[in-house]
Amino acid sequence: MAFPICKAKSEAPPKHQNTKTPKHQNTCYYMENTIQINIIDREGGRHKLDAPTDMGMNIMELCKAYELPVEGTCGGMALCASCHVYVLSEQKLPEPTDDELAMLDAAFFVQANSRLGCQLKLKNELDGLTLELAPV
Amino acid sequence: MDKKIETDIIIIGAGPVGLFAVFEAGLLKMRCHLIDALPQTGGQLSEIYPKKPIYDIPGYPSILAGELVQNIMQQIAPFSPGFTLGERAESIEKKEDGRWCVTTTRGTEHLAPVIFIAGGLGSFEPRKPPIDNIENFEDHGVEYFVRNPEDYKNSRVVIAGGGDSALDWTIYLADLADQITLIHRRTEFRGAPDSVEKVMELAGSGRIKLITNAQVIGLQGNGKLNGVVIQHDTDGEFEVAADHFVPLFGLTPKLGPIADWGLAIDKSAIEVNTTDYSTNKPGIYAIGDINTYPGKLKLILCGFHEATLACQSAFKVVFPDKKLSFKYTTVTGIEGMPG
Repeated sequence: MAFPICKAKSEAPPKHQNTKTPKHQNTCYYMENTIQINIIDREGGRHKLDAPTDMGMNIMELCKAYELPVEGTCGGMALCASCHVYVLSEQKLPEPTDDELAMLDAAFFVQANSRLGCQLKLKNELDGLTLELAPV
Repeated sequence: MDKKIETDIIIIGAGPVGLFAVFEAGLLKMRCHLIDALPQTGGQLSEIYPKKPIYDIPGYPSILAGELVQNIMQQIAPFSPGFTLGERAESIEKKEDGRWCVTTTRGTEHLAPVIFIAGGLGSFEPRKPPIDNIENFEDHGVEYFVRNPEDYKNSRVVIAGGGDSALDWTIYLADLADQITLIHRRTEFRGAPDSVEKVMELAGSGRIKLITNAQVIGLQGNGKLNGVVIQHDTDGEFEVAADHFVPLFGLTPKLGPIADWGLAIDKSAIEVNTTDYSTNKPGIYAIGDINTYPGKLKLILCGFHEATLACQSAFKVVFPDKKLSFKYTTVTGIEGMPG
């Protein structure tokens, strides 16, 4: 695994006392610089991923680090749409750039809630985000 | 013409790593010939991000991908490499004399004792819309490229896509075809403003039919295309008669025939020995994004290193009786090779 991500919660005891209210019922701890991203895979399986916000990662890289079936062929340049996801929750996301919109224009199975995972940087505002992997 | 191309190293893939391999091979007096499915050199750098800056090429705080390709082309020019461009390497075969023969889609044969596979993500192929029976109609009404505009004369053509190629071909074929329908998933087009304007004019004057917020979801015909089924966001499904359907959604890389060459493959990448980036087949090496090994990083800079070490090993295959001596270019300079 390329990124030192805490896979199991038991391996990563919280270093800081939780001073914020956990946003999710099922989050048993809240670590600074870690948010939770929920991914629904193409078979309907649900994955709760602990995601670091201090490593410059994006959703595509996060999925790959957890070995979810996301290719990320172009390496994150918004050029292949292999990280195409549907946004299922209400978080306010940054607007897509022209590059992302251009790629979505050439992608398939695109819906109004389509985004490219590689263009969504892991930031605190994304905490609790639920995404579904689009068909390939 | 039945002339075979003979060289020392056949390099499959003319991206930055394949191109740089020519330089390292040239220093060791090995001739190279490159094969690439794209009509130009540079691979992804030329095809998909020529204007994007790259920041991790040693010695260049920032360099545009297109410039890097130009620079490497200049750097390898003294070694006069050969090129077979616009043809995809299709099959490999071991000849009786021990050399490998690489044959392309157009039947061009290349002979050499060594093959470097520097195929990056694979060869670029058109992105095909997810329509169930689309393969049945390929070359029977469905074309992913406009090869010969005359083929569309006096026929009914449906073009799908929202980028420059969809717009440009719609404009071009409007004069030739009997009826042109352009279908785009959204209302806005992302192509050049001039082209968008021209398409809107053509639609306004009735020269073409423009259907936005819609996509083609089905194809009809018995052996030969005669219509497409369109799903409109608000109007539902309807049919449009068509002799040709041309989906233009850009290119996407596919590993392609390399997967069937008997090489050890892991997740669409070729497994190599990191001593010299050799594959499980003697004389065949894999360098750059197409290979995999523990610790692999898909970086151009790592590909350059891989190409350099693979050349050292290839020397022993190309010149089994010669002794390899290591030299610095600063000391020896560059001794070119005639074409």
